[in-house]
Amino acid sequence: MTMNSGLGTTDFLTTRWSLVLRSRGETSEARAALSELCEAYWKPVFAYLRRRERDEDRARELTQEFFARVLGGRGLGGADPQRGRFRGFLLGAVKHFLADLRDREVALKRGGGSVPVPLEAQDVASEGTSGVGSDERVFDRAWAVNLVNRAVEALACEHAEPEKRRVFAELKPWLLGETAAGSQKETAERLGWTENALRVAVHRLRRRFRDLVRAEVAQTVEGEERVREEMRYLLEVLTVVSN
Amino acid sequence: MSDTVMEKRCPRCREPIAPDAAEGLCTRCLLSTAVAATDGPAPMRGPVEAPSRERLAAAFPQLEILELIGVGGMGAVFKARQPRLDRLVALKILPEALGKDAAFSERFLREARVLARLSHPHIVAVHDFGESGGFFYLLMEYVDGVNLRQAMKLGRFTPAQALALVPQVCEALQFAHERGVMHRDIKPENILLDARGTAKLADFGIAKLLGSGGPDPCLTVTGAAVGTPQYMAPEQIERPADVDHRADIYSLGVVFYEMLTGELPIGRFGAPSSKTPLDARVDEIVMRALAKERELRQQSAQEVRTEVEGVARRPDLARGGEAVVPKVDPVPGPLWGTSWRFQRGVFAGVSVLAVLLVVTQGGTLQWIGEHFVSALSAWNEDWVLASAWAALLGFAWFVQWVARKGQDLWSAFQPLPSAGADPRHWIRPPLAWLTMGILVTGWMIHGLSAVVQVLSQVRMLSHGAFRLPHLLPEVMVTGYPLLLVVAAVFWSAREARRRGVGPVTPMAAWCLRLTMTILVLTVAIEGITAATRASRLVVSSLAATTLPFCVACWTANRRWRALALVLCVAGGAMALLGAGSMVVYAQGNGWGMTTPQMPPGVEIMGEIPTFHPVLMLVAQLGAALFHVAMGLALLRPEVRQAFGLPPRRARTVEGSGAAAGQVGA
Repeated sequence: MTMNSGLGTTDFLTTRWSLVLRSRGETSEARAALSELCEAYWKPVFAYLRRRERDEDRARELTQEFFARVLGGRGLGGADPQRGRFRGFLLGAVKHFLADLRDREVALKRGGGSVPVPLEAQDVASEGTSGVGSDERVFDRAWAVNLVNRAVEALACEHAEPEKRRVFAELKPWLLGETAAGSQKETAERLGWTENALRVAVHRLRRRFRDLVRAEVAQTVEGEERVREEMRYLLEVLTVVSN
Repeated sequence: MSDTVMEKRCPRCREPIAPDAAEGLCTRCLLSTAVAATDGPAPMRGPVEAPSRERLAAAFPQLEILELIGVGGMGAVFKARQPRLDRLVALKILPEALGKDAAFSERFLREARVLARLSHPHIVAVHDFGESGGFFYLLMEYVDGVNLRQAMKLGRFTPAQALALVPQVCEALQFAHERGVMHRDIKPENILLDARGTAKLADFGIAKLLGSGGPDPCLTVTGAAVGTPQYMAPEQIERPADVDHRADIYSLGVVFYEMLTGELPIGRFGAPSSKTPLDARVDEIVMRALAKERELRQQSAQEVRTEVEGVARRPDLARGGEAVVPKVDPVPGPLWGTSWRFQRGVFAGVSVLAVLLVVTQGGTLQWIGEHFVSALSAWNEDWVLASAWAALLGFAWFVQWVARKGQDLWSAFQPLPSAGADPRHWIRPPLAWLTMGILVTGWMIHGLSAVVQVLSQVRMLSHGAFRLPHLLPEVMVTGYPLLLVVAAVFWSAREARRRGVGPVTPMAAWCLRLTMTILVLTVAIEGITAATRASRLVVSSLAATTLPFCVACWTANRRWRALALVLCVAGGAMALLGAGSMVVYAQGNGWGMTTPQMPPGVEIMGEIPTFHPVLMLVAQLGAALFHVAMGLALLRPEVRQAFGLPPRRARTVEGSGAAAGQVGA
């Protein structure tokens, strides 16, 4: 009946850091943690690699390898929860992974092995027609989109029952703010509610959504102030890119 | 990213929506909503710090503490669950400092017992209370919803919604008052709306509990005012010891006012209807509840409720004894549903056109007649056309105004009931005086210039140049702005009366009468001079824009309004053409301004008198000034209201007491 408006405390405690630490090793728990990480951050990492590599298949392959290798326990010596943002850490790890990979590829080439890697594309990417920061922006943007999408999906999941789904379909435009939604009255009529009831429902949906977004962010940074800062930053990223 | 196919656009920010956006919603706007929604469990205000969850869990082993709902000067509220009953409850922890006061303990138990007995559907029930682990607590019904403050932030309350809500609060108040319990701290934060939109009053008597004799000077000063200043009755601030249930009625009035207007009634505030379209009877209820003297307020919450329900249940809407839908939306007035920008555009446009028309002296039709429609200039009796315009015009105003406001006019000049005169209340200061000043001055100049023209007209009439029928349409058309100004004055007087802000003192009454006399005199002069305005062409072109304007004001039908606007634009174009023709005409006459134009059909016998150019110029300027003043008058709320125009768009609801920190749109 009532929506559970407080997030389970365990969700808050399991930050992405602990997941990374847990994903090391060969146990089944580690594999589960790894696949969860993969699922959560596939998109931003892929977007970044796609940007750097230009080749989609290659980027996909690299993304897969990144999650398997780097997060799987190797080359992750610098993973220190005290270091701050998980976003920054992950980006750093991807960069490191890429540089490492390139070193090895160069070594392989010199050793005379066949090179199936499209190096031209890489060269273009590394010389970079765009500024140094823009690749990171792409990562950050994809990160922000990914994060919001996850929150929205979580919200949609909570409204999976048929009746709730109908309500959610009606209410979701209100998540964008007043201006986006049609007349309050019409929506209320369609749902067979009073306008006050609609207000209440919209408010709660927004609050819930806010909590979900926060929870997502809170998994990647420590502390209330940091969370707020990070949310503002991500909003800024989205704003700049979409302009 | 440019390679994505962008089809849909966000209805809010107009940016394209990326195809990978979840649920097809704009990611950026979603995130901005999440960032902006700061009204969560963050502490709102007050010196109180919420106790930690661990301490609470230790103090209340029978409860499952879920989350902090809010912190305020009155303590902290937690959402909790009673596992045995499997129900959610709200746990209010009173400020800890109170626990140190021995006398408080006894008083708390005594008062809380009374509160726990208040069982009413519109009152948040107190399940339990007491002291546990050093905390004084109240265990209350958990209302799964929002408070009125949050609801107001989500969007403005329509009058109908407000009228539906207030009686529920009244019911709760009446119930408590009958049992000798005062709320003392009614404010939007304490009015909760549950999931079905039902109102529930929270925190009954808490203010008193904390107020009288609290030991912590930073919470309250002993015996001093308790409550939230913006919502407190004057006597609650000045003589807190001498407060009765009517203080609650005042606070309710403040909340009511805020719901309707989005503002707090601070300083010299206008009636709610001056800020939002509203039934005048609602004004009366709100303003009465907000009376400084509690003797003048409604004497019981029941009385407020009866009054509100009386308005909500308009007899003309209740058919066949069905359940009544509260409908108070003021008159579905002219321009109803259009934006303020649209209205302002119409007003500004018409004012500009009016000035243009006067300045060009309506050469438009003549020019058209001469150059395009020869039949028009051949039609001698085209004053008939002007009459038709004028008749329609008069009809429009008649229906609009008399039907709606006629009965109010009658009482406008009846003596006001109460004492305490302040003529400034007639019209809202300070712009009102300026506007009225301009109006009166404009009219006087206009009248003076008319006198000059009248003299010439008398000479023309004596030469038999005009026949009487020419007078009629012009009188009718030029009469309408006068109606408007008269209405403004009447309305102001009526408003003052309705608000009961003061009677017409002898001096004030004389001022008013003088103004009216001037206006009436100018009506007369205008009527006579209408005939002197060089030709019926003035009439025609003026009517060409004023009629559509009237229709635009009058009709609620969108198509009519659109048509009227097209006509307005056409009239404006004609006016411009007329200006051009005037230039051509003046060029042909060596820029002489002294020769009045005569309509083609009018036979002129004898000499046409002429005037000094400067005199004519003054007359023109006076006329122009009048029209500007007319435009200004249209912007006055009194005038707008007199004609049933919706007021300017009220500010967005952002209660001044609301928590700060709203980011983004």
